[in-house]
Amino acid sequence: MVTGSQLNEYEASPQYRELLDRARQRDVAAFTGLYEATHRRVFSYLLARLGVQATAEDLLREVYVSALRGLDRFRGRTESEFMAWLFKIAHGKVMDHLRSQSRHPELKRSDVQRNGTVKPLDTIDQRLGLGEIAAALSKLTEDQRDVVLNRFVLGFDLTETSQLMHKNVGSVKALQHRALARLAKTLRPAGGEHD
Amino acid sequence: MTNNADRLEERLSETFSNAPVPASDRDLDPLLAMAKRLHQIGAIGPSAAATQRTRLALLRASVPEVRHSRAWWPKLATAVPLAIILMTVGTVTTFAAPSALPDSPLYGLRNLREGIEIQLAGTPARRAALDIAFAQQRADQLVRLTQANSASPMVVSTLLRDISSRVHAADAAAQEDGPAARAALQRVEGQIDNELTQLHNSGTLSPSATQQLDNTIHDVQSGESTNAPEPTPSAGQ
Repeated sequence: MVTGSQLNEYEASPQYRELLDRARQRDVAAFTGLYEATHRRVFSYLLARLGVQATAEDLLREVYVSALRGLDRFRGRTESEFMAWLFKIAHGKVMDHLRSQSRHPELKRSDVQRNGTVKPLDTIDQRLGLGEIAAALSKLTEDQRDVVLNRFVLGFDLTETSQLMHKNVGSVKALQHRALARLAKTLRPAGGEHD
Repeated sequence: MTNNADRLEERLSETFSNAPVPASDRDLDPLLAMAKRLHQIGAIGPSAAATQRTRLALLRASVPEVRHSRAWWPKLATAVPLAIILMTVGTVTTFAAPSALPDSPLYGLRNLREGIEIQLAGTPARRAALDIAFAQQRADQLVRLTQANSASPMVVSTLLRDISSRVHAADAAAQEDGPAARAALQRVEGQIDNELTQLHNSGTLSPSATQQLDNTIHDVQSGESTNAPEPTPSAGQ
């Protein structure tokens, strides 16, 4: 778990503001710099929600292309605002994807390719049991899910998570306990490797 | 609940610093294991290929389509038949050959579709972005095929030839546009240069293919230096 105050680091970064200003003027190199600085967390969020690496990679691309196209509408100045905006876009993409999956369940299985053949096992997805984690996360309440994603997947500490969610620290701790208890009850250890 | 929640928070920080959990808190073990399992997801990043695809997508998306208000009808007269051909050819190639290689009969269709896409691009900057994206796709394919030791001399030669011609076309289009397009192009050319140089250093190609590879690298590097930003005059000069 990351315990440093990353939100404050982001907001203090002058390079970030410069990148954002240049990106707004359609400087693709600057936007690529923003991508380099932020994409790991957005990807982690997508992977946790979707449970399939290839799908998370596709949606990651869509998130940043949408962000680039919609940068004129983004009014924020700090990196935490930019991150929040990216997560909002990512959340929308996840919802669209899940809705599309529920309409087309035949596309749901990640191991069947378009031509009907079965592709090789995705070792990371399988080893960590990402699919079942994503399914279990989707059964939590929105607040419970946000707490575990912020704390354990995205690496925000307790104070940062409480700021991000506009809740007090006590509520975040209680939500965290309930969420982990529910997940632990639902999920078996991944791949038998867990101790 | 509050007590348990506080206890869990204390044990979480110990767990992530690998400190042992006291025996009195063993009931929290499943929750701590769950937290560790979730934490592993944060350590996974997108693959290098996915990152490359995202960069290309950003490059393409960065160039806005320009709509010209005057003399639109001659362009429409060209665009409509081309669009029909593009849709027909695109349907075939999308389903049959999204990345056909030169030893496939569909490679010609791939070239045709790319050519039409470039023709329909509204601005020189967009043409440059498409040309360089197509060059990079071929460089990626060449590297993958060579790593898998499955590239025939004809495939290597054709891919290298087409990389050079796409790079030349991209350079010309970017020169027509301006500094922003040149800067974007230079960045991708740098990536292609790195890929091809690594391929050269791997020593996996035959002498004649290596010679052609060197010529292609030279073409790419020429583009890089042509598109490099002009030096800003320093104060006092």
